[in-house]
Amino acid sequence: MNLNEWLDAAAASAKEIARGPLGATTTSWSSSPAMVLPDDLCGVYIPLSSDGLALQIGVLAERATCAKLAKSLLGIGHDEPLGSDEDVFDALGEITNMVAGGVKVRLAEKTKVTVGLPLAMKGKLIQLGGSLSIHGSIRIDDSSVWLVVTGTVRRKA
Amino acid sequence: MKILVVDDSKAMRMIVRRTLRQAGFGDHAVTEASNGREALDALRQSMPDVILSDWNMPEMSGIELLDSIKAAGIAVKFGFVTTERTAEMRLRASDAGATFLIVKPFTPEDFKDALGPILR
Repeated sequence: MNLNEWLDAAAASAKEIARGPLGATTTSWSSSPAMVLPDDLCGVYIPLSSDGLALQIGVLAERATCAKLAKSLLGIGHDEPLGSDEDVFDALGEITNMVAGGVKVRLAEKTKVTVGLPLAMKGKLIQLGGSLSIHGSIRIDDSSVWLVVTGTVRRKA
Repeated sequence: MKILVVDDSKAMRMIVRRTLRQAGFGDHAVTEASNGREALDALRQSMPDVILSDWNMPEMSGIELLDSIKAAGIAVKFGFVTTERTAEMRLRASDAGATFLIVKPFTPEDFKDALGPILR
C-alpha cells in the first residue's frame, strides 16, 4: 500500500467526522504535491502501525481553527472561551483518534492496523531523511484543516 | 445506579457524560477515571454497576482493564466506547466479556440501545 491510499482513507474519515460530531454542513478535499503546508500549524498526530510500515496521521490547523474544532466537538459556542491549550489539544486528539479509527476500518480488508496514542504539536514540521510525507487540505465549512500522513518502512530484524 | 467512565481524554469524558444525560440516563451517578489503572483503583473504593471504557489508553488499556476485572472475579457490566470498530476488535471485546461496544462518534440513540437494557 502506498501513502496515498492512507491519505485518501484519512480524507474520507475526516469528512465523516466533520459532518457528524463536528456538525459541518460542507466539506471538500484537495491534495496535490504542489500544496505547501503552512509553517504555523498546531495539531495532533496518532501513530499507526501496519505490516512493514510505521505511519503517523496528523490533523493540523491554525491555532484558532484548532480551538474552533474543539468547541464544535464539545458543543461549546464559538464565542465562548475554551480553557487552555491542553483542552484544545485534548479535544483535537479525540478528533484525530476518530479519524484514525475510520482509517483503520476503511483499510481493514487490505491490512491490519494498530492505533497508538496521540501526540500534540505546535510549530513548523521538519521532515528528516528516510521518512515520506504527503498531505492535503480539507475544507470544513469556512475552515481549512490539513491532513498529513508520514511513514517509514520498518526494517525486519 | 453507578457508572464509571474511563477515558484518557477529558473532552471525551465530558462528552460521554453529556450523552448519558441526552440519552435519559442523567439520574445515575457518574464517576471518572483516566486510564485502566485508575479505574482499578476506583473499583476498590466504590463498585460501579456499569463501566464505560475507552480502548486505547496509556498506563493500562481498556482491554487490559477488562481482563484484570475478569481475572479478579469482579462481576460488573463492562462496555467499550471506542473508535475501534473492526470486526476483529468487536470479536476480541466480546470474547473478553464485554457486554457492548459503542463506536465513536456516537449518538444518544447508541447509548440508549446499549445501556437501556442495563440501566432500566
